[in-house]
Amino acid sequence: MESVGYLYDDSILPVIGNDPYTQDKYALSTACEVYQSTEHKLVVVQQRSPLVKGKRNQFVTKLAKWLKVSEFSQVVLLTSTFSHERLDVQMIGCQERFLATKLMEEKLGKKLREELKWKELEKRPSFPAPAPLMEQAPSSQNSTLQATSYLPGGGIAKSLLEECEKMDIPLLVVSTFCSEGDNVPDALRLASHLNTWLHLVKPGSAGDTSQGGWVTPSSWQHLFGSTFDQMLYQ
Amino acid sequence: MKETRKFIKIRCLVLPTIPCFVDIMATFFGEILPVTSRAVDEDDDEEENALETAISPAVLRWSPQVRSEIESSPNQCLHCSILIIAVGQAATGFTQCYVLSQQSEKIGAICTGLDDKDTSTLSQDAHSDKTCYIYRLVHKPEVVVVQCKTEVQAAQAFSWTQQLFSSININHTYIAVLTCGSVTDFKCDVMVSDLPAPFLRALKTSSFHGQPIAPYLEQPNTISGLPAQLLTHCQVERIAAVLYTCYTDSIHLDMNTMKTFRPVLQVTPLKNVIQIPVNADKLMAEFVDRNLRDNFLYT
Repeated sequence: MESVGYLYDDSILPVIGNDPYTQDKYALSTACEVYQSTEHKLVVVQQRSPLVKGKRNQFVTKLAKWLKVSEFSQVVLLTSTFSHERLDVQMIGCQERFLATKLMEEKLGKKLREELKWKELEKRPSFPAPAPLMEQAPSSQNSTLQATSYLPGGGIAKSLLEECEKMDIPLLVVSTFCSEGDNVPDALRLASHLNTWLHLVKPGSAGDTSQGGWVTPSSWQHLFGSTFDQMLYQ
Repeated sequence: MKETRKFIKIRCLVLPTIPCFVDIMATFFGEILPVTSRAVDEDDDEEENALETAISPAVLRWSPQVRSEIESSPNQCLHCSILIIAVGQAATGFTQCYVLSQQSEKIGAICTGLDDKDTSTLSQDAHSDKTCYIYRLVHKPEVVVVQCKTEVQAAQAFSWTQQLFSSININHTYIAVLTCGSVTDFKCDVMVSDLPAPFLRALKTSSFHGQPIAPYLEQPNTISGLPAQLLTHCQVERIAAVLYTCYTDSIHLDMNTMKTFRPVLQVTPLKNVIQIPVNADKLMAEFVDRNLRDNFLYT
């Protein structure tokens, strides 16, 4: 993919570095870059740093306006949510879930559920706190037990979903359950899950260094620090 | 939000998000250390926190003389052909001894807020001085140096950068950002103990066509905070700029760390306008001594 621009705003914390995808050439990378593939008719926004505390709404509003103006036919938000908040039914089987705006549900809901067998994120009662799923709310219960989508650790996913719903933007949120730690396998699993719909790569086609058809970036080395002196432990 | 190119009509946009916040970890001996977590706590009420944690924007003030120069200039900006922005103790120490030791004058300040316990001396001699002053050389007024000794919060970096770059004419200007970091944060195949610290690394914008005097910063190392914001602004606005960062193994300010920046003065156009002072070592020793004195707890 080719770098075609930047999202530059005071709501994004700054970070810079060398090109994260290759060691063969130099290119400055920034906190939030936009990439494009004309072959796949795909645009990717890569956000590499967190948002400034208190400015999440500002970022979501501006991002939604840009999505609307750019007239993307489909928008996908990839995110993750805490695995320790899973319900019992979520602990086995596929770890990916989706949420869609009405527009996206009309376009793709049937295909995702019936053809691809994707699972929609289970809704939970929200009052007084997100609770385990109830199959049926007893009729005598307070009407404040509204079912809601619970995505702890999901970043801007819920806010963007609400904003896109208001602005009639076809947004699909694809989330995976994961924990703190080495999330490389989780990222590859999420990418492969997305690939079952978008068919961006052929699984196993990228050579010996690939993992499910994906090539991990060269910047994914030393994720947990540099080498250390083994003599420390002898 | 600034986008720099038009997109073709596409069928799909993918937005991966990487949430992160800083947690607190207690160690065995009871001290509290910050631990970075990539998870996001969504229980915070965004609106309430926006009021509580409101970050005051940076404010730039020029001296009366420079203010009238700016007002009378055609583009309402200060003219300069060389702009050096030094961030942190080692970088500001280097520019203080090697560049500003030639006759210089204070022409402005960028303020980002002070705590009650902070001091601020106009001479900028105190270890705890927390303001950013802008200087220019008296005999070469086209050389402007910004000394940033205070820690500018990452959330203030955007307004700090906007304030500075909106008041200085940075078209056709050589812009160099100098900063410093700890070698323990440098990630590579070599063990930290075997790294030849202190050493210099560079990053530059796409519009900077020269070759930096130091090797490019290797993956997966990154720069954050004010230096990152400065270079990001230049990259987005297609302005030529270069950043030099020194990785040091010293926890206190020392001469070796400051001297690591010396090769920066040997590049064009700096070598044509800035003469390395003959008493640079003496100035650095005094600077280090002043800062070391303030670092001892029991004297």
